Amino acid sequence: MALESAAAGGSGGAKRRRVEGGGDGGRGAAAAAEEEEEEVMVVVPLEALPDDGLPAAEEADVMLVDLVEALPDDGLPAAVAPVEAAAPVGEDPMVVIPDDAVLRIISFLPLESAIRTTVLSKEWLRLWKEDWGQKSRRYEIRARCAPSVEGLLKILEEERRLERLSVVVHTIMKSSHLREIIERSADRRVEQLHVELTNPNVVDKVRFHLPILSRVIALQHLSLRQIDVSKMRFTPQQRFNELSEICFHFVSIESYMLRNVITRCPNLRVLDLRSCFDLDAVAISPGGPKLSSLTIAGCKHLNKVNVVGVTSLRSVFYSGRFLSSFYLPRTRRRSSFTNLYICYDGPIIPMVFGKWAQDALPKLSNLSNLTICSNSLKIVPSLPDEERTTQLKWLGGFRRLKELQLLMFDIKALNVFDIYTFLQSFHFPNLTKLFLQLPRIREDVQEAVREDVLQSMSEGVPEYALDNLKVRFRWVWLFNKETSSEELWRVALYKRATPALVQPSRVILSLTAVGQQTEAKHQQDNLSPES
Amino acid sequence: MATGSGAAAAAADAEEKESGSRMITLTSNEGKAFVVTEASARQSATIRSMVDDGGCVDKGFPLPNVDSKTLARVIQYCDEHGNKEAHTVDERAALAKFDKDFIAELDADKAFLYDVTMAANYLHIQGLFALTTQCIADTIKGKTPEEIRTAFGIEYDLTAQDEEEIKEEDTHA
Repeated sequence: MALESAAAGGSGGAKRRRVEGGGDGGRGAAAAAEEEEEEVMVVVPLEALPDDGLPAAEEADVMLVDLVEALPDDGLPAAVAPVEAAAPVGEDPMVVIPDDAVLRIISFLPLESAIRTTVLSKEWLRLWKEDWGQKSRRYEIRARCAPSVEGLLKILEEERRLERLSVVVHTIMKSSHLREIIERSADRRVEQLHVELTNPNVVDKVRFHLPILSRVIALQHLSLRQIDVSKMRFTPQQRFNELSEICFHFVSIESYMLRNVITRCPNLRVLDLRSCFDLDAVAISPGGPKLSSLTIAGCKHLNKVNVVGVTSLRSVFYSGRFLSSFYLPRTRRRSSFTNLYICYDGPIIPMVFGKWAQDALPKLSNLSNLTICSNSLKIVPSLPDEERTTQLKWLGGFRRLKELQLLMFDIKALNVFDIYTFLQSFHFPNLTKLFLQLPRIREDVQEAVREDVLQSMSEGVPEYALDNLKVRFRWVWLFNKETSSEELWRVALYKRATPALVQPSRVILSLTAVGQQTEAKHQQDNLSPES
Repeated sequence: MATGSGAAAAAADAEEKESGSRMITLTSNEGKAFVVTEASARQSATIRSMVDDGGCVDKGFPLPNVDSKTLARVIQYCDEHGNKEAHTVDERAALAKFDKDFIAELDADKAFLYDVTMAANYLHIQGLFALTTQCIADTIKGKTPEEIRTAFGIEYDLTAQDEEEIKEEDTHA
């Protein structure tokens, strides 16, 4: 019994492709010519099968086309591919094997090759239109425009299968609507879900129930923006087994709620939290998911991050206020943690720094990519000489560091001094790229800044600054023509670095100008976890 | 033990009574019976679920969508993966080599490759399905559309209107 129903499903899907709109005779002849012997695919209409499932022996050589299947269920006219009499070798997988299998084949292709298949023939184009090009939907709901929220729910009900669903609501909606969207997503087996509210009058009236979301069992990627998460409790059974990526931007979620979600995601790999103002702590226990990337930006009430036990971490990106309680995994020799980005938008208190470096910052000697901002750079010169060695010891060396990026919010002479001192205080034997991001200076103050810097330069930086610098520079200037600040920097740095020029070049220094640093700008533009 | 080609149901019954693993009979659409070990048959999720549901093991499983030639080849794969261990590095290497040779042979005969792909899809034999679809994908990868058409003998049948539509999609992207 079970077998027959399986067979029905199988052959139904399997043989639709077999329908060649053209005359049977032509196709049959062509087929016979190209594939001698018994290679001809035999399509067995289900009704023709005797109960024992064994077709009569003489059917082996007969070409049968399932007539029922000849009428596509989507109501579109049958693909009218005019099959020429001289159809070449019948090896087109699209003609023979079912759509599901062809989709699997496409899934193995790099995107470029996959897209190319759409121009092969009508049939390949049809598959693109019907299926893999269409599994992704984005809906924007606006006032007095279709679709309305109710309309959307109806549309979603009619969808066959959706892999990616994105809903952006600009108008009014209710919590119950959100709930229904989640339920539809569960029915359509959505794998990637993005929900965003843009109307500030609605945001605090609508609650998103995360526990209900566990019904979307195929969910792999969840992205919420401008959403208030309800305090609804989880039952022990509610889990997100497939979820590997969470992005919460401007989401109101309490710390304990976030923790509850994370412990229910055994396969979470990427956690991206930006401007989640209700969070005061992000802590992941050692037994939790094997997170590989953590991004936290602009969570202005955050005062604690503890991921010390998450040894699977590869990269940590933090942007925001200085945290005295910021525990990172140790970068052991074989550990995967190699990429660290820390950008503080306020000053670091030197008094706190020592303890922080000692307790919270791991030894950083295994990092290959490090980005720090001018606020962090300031700390090194501000330490008294005798403390410098002991305190910096806790940072370890930067033996494996390949790329160093310095985010400069200011370009005063003092900042040049900070850079020198920083570079001088550590040893970078493997550094190959040094990036400096400079602030963009407004036209009207440029002249003033220039004078200020040039003047302080002449008094400012002590000559010994580069003496201990083991890095050998090649000055490659990739600067932005729009700004003049890099000119300044060229003069400043070049003068100081001349002695190093005689060495063979290994380090590429890149200068890019960034916009005026504002909090929002920083969160959204400068922080790109993938780069 | 594998493709006991003409094995009658009676023989299967007898074997089944023997100590150790059960034997299961699969019948092709041409009525040919193949007797395989349960471990081999369990490579197919379709058959596995039916066996576990406790149904029709004695009667055997008719497979109206699979012909004898294809079924024999599919069983060859299932025997290798179902009956052999893959715990040590050597064992895994041996299996990988089997897969490589298996697919190389199939690749030479595209029509047969598609038959096996369909059978693997219908019987839900994950490993085999991945193997064959990957093989077909490799034929497509890195080729220009014209080269793919030549490789598969695809007739170019897009109308000017289709082309226009594709171009339009392009500009959106």
